[in-house]
Amino acid sequence: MKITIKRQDNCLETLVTVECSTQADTQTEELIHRIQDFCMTLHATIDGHTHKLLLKDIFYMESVDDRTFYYTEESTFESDLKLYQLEEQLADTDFVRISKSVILNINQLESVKPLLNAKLEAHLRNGEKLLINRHYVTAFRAKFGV
Amino acid sequence: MKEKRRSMKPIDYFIMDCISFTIVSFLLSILSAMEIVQNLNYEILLQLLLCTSVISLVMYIANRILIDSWWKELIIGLVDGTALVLIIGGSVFRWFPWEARYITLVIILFIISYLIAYGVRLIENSIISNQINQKIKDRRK
Repeated sequence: MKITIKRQDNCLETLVTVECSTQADTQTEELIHRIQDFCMTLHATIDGHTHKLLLKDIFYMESVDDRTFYYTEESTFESDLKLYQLEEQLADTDFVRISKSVILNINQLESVKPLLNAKLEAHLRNGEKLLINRHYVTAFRAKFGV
Repeated sequence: MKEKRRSMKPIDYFIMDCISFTIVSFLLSILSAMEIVQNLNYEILLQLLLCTSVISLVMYIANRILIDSWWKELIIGLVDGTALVLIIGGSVFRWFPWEARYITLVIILFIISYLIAYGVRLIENSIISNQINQKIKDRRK
């Protein structure tokens, strides 16, 4: 794989172009997948103002009392989308449902710990802990190819 | 902790039932070889399967109740399981006479089986965690 980077003073917007075969190798597909994840955005509100959030900055999404929230390192944003809509929309990304009310970004995962009640505990990079219900463990493992 | 609701599926209880039945059969075989338990036959084994299945069913129903800690769940499982073994085994199938010696033996057998079945599931969970943690490390490299 060759990488070409062109830096120009008059460039207004960064453009990433991947040139590859229609049947690209795994490494290339993963790179495309990563770039897409990196650039994907979602709209959410905080204090009545709408913001465009990069998917990679969201730690997890949670549904509380029929409202959906995005949690980033610093803030909590509210979304108009339902959790099941997000789950469908993010099916090919590094987000995975870990319980009835939570979708987790596995890139923000520090580690997982087994619990005595047959569940897993997700330790996030911001120090938060979330429970991974047994029902969702298979899908969670699949995201890691385990 | 954001999520506290339990979500073990019926298949989990079926697996637990199979593990429990295997362990109890194995322990009884050893006790039978040592001639502590006598007249171990297919009828008793089928009754035993029914007994472990009823226990799993009761645990499944009990699991619908919100239990917020693992040790409460463990104790509730042990207490209702022991009660069921004594009622089904002692009163319905008459596996043992109602004497302190036999009751103690049955309780010990049940506790050992229960803890081993619980332990097997913990080991399985621990293996999954290690695999995922290794993948997380690999992704960072």
